[in-house]
Amino acid sequence: MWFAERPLLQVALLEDRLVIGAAGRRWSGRHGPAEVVDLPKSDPQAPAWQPAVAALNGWLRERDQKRARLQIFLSSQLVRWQLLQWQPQLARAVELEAYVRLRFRATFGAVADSWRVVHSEPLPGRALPACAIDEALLAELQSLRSAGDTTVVSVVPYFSAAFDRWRPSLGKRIAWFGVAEPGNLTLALLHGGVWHGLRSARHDRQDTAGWRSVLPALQAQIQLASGLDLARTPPVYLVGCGIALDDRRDPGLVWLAAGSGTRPGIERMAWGI
Amino acid sequence: MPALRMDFLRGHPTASVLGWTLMLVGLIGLVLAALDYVQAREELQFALDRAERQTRSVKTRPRGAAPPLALAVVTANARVSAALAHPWGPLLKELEHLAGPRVSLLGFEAQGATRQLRITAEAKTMAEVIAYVESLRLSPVSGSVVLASHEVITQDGVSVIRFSVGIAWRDAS
Repeated sequence: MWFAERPLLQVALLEDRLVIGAAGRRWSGRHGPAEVVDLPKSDPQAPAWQPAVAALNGWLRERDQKRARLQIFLSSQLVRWQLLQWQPQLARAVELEAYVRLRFRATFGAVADSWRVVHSEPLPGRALPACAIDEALLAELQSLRSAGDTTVVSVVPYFSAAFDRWRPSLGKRIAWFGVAEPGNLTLALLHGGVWHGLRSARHDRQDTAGWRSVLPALQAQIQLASGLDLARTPPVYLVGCGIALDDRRDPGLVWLAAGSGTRPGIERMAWGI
Repeated sequence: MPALRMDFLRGHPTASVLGWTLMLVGLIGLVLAALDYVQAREELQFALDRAERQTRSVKTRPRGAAPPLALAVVTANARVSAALAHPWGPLLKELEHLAGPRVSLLGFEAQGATRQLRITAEAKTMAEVIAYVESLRLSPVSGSVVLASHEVITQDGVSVIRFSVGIAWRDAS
């Protein structure tokens, strides 16, 4: 029936996995089970997101989810991040947009011309987090409408969703905030809501040695670029998502768990938490 | 700590919940102020209409004779008029004329009904004071003249005599 509520599906897109879950009742705060679809290795010539979008398309057709609304969360594997310096002379939104595009082009080259960029709300004097994805990915997601009356209501980088979810936990003191995903670690340095650094690094290993191997290097790069003298090591707040945890107790490392005793499964990426 | 709120379908980040709430509160305030303004305008218009109607009715109302005054009021009016009808102009002019350049007149206190007058003035010497009092005595406007008081005071390093004279005056004519 047309007046029936359209189902809301929360979807996480990764290079090698697709996670789909039905959104729970908003008032209950609980999430239902999520389905994880392992994907075949993608063609090296094809975009990294293509297997996940193709699998999502097939899943919607198989399950006859023709009227679903989709909330998409993107793994950092599919997103490029930059932290841009504040430019006081850019007064209009169009100028700021052009500046962000130019910075991505300067960093990544002409390929950035085919990217869609977004940035956070600019605050005077503060660095501006910005990210980019393939314009073709958005076009493919929009074409899911061909599977019926499916609508994509949002496409959000998981790092952004996780930060918005956990930012009250960081406090006002200087701290690291990171999201450890399979094969990727994205790390930021913040102080009282001001961004001092934001970088992402890939790694090959899926176990705990993976993100641990890139964490010191990322910290060193960000600290050097920020020019901050970190006499006392700031705490590291980490969101683990689909990664293995070891029993090592690291002083200063705080895991931001989605629930008590919850294993940091890949499902939380679909919930954006 | 500001949220990132990044969404590739939204393009620019939208305002926060707080922003929307403030806008809603502002809109409600705007509507209330507009209603208040409309009500105030209506009240003003109503008051103007009523004032215009009252003015029109006063203009069109025939003027009747004023009600007769009570006898006591008439008597009091006559008494007050008689008390105020003294020739103050010629009297004050005569007093100033008699003072001349050597006496400075500072004030008059008059009781119209009793024809008593008190003059306060200043002069440099006692001789000038006495001369002024004598000229008052010889004046046709004065009945009796009494030098009531005098004192020596210093103004800007100069000593002067401030004095007051009581006069019972009468019509010069």
